[in-house]
Amino acid sequence: MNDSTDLDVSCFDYLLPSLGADMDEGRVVEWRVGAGDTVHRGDLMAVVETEKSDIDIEIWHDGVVEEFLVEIGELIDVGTPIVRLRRLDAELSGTSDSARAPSGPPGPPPAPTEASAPLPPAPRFDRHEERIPASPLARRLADERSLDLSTIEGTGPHGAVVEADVRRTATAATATGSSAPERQRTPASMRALIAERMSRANREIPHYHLARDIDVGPLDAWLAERNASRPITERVLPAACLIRAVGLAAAKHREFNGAWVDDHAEPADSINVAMAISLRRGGLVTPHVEAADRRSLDEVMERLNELVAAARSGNLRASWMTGSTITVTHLGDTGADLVHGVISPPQLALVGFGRARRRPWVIEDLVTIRPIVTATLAADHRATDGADGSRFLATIAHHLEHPEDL
Amino acid sequence: MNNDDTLPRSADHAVVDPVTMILAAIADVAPELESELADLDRDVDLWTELQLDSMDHLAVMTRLARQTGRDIPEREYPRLTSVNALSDYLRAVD
Repeated sequence: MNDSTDLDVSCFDYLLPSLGADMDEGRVVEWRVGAGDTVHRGDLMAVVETEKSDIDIEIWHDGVVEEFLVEIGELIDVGTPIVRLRRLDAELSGTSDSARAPSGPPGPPPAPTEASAPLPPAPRFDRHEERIPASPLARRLADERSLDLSTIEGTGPHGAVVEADVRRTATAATATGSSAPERQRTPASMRALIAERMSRANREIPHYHLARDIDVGPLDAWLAERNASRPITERVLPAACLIRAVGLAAAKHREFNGAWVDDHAEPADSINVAMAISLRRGGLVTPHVEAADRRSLDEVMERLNELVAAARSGNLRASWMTGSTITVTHLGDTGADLVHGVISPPQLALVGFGRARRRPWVIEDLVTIRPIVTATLAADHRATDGADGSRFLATIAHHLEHPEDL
Repeated sequence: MNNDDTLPRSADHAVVDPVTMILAAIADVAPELESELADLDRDVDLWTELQLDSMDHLAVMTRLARQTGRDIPEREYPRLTSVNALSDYLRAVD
């Protein structure tokens, strides 16, 4: 009946997204919205349990929640419609009511919560496929990369998703398919995930490693002065400066920002600097600060606070985890002197910072004692060479040595 | 667990024992460490002992600032490493 007509353009279904290449199914364990709620792009919809973790999922279109299509705890395949939404401009459509889901009362959006009996997923899935025009190649590529076609902006005829759209999205979402630790279940599964990713990195990526000592005296002094006049909630930590410096340097050296796809480097448009955050229960997660080159230092710090709190309380959003284009690891003041990093595939580089230590340092012809941080670069030799890497590290050093421009 | 908004502030925060406040702030930032806090030596460097990093440090200090209504200046940080040192500081500014 309704499901076969495809006349219902006023509604659309939100499908269970794939949150990693190895995710085939999952279950909704919590709704973050209620029927009748108006949601906007980026709003949290639900908490989804996968084999590895519980993940907050977000919506990518505006709409009003009409009904929930699956039960809490029900095991469902990726691609299964889980929520039906009404488009915000639905009143323009004359066909809406006649094509509404059979379970909903006619007229205004149904109020009650978890709604009526779940409907068979298959027809809805077909319908959804019809609503997202895509070339067969694009469909296959998206499938290979575990990308949800509905999240890709189509630039083909009538907005169809074409090959270039998928490749562009895949590049922006470099970490998709490989980073899904988020709210990890157990230290053991976290270990297994890290084992798989790092094995892949060592198997596939010919790393080269460079190091450069940086005098962070000016940075420390600048931060101390800046923070002294600010309330604690507006103070900035060195970690935020490192992210910002790497973001700015990556904007200049684009060849280190992006992904290795098939047999070539694909630089990304956005600079999403992931930060390795260790978890006390073991393992680590790497959520990112998106567009780190275009945010102010205060904004980077604000986001970093948010990411660390979310990482440690297990509330990371999927969008913070996918789409990282370069990673920073900061050992902190109790850490080792330097790190020879392992790149997070398919990214092209990882920048590491060791602990700051007081070292003899030559300025002009005088030996003095300065706080020194050794910055290291692990980079993919398929994409760049040591000379490129040296320049990239030099740019990072320059930004940290001129903190007033951060 | 203490809720920031319900704790007494500035004028009457003396009724809350600073040690309790500090331990609650740590437990809030690092719930996994809660069981270790009872046995924590109150004179050791707690940040090293509990492996709290600079982000944790900031989060704990932010909570203490909110609860006492006062910011602890960064220049005081180097000597505020143990529970007792922090507690003495909070008492002194009271």
